[in-house]
Amino acid sequence: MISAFQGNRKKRGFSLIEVMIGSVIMAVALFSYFLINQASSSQSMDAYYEFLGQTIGNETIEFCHGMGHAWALKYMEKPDMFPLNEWHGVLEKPIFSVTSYFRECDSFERMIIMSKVSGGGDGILITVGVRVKSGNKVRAWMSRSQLEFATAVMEKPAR
Amino acid sequence: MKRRAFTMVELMVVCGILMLILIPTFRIMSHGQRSASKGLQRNRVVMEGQQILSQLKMDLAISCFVFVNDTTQDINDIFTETISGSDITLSFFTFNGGAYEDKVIPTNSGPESYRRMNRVEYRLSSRPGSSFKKLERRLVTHPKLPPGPNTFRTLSDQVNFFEIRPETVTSAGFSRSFFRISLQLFDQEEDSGQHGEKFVADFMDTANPTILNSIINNPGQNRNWYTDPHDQN
Repeated sequence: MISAFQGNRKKRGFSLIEVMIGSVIMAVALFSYFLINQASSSQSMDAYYEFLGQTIGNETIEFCHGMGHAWALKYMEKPDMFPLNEWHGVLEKPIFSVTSYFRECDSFERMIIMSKVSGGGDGILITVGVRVKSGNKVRAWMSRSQLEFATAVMEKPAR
Repeated sequence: MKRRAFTMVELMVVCGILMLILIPTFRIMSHGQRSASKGLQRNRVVMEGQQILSQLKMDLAISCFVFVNDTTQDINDIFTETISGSDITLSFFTFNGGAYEDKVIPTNSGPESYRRMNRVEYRLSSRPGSSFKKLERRLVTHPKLPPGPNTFRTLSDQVNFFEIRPETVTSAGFSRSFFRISLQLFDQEEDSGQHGEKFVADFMDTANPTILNSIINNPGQNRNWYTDPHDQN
């Protein structure tokens, strides 16, 4: 008995289907590998820029705590360093001297809101929002679009 | 039917094709490995930077003056800078919150109970021809207090830049002093062999020196927190 293959024995190459299946398998493998690497790099940059955003937010909180309640009360009436209730560039309205910030801070903007709170003592609630400026390349790295910070500066410490 | 072996030409063609496939694949994989390892290094550097800033903030928050009764205190006075070759040591006193003392010194303005302060030293050292600097911290317990555990610690040996800058801000008629901390770390070790690909991570933070602000803004008050200048040795 002679099989059909043996009877029609001739040299043949890979068919188009075989080549395409092989290419797809290879592409999937390589693409997954590429994605894993991309994710690793992206996560590390995300952590760095998130830390930077947190530093900018914490700076404002630390500053307000240092200045105290009496200052905050006066500042609400007449802001003289940074505007309240509106987004502004961190380096356009810096709290400290511009030279103490590094260049990447220019990618961020912040909004500071102050409001009076009462009940259990008078205080001022300070909320700080930090986000990347629109159109800035850092936005591609950060997974969170906005960071929020809040603190209260009380007139007198609790008894 | 006769078994036939591959010819030399066939084997060479196969080897050539394999090389063409394997070389780019190997390059992609090694690049992937490098970027994954860089990611890990960057995460490690971010954590290291956070730890250094956190330690500095704690030290600066309780920093204080050596008290001299009849002089005006200024935030710029707190640091003592010592330069030895390429090494710079920055030292300042910190409030010793735990060790209250009974010693009372009578003065014209009433009895004063001084505190014995500890001293914190930050030393930045570098080797000639290298841009990598080492940052170390040491807590020197007051000589008349029981010695504490060995507190010497290398914070990082991948420092590019380090600075603590006192700054006084005036707003709405109020004036307060702060410390601005700037730190730059390389994301790789000096002997990693990846020269020319160094990534520098920038860190900054603000420390609010509560005790200093209290002293500066309330002359004559909180005297018990001051240090006796004659009692440091």
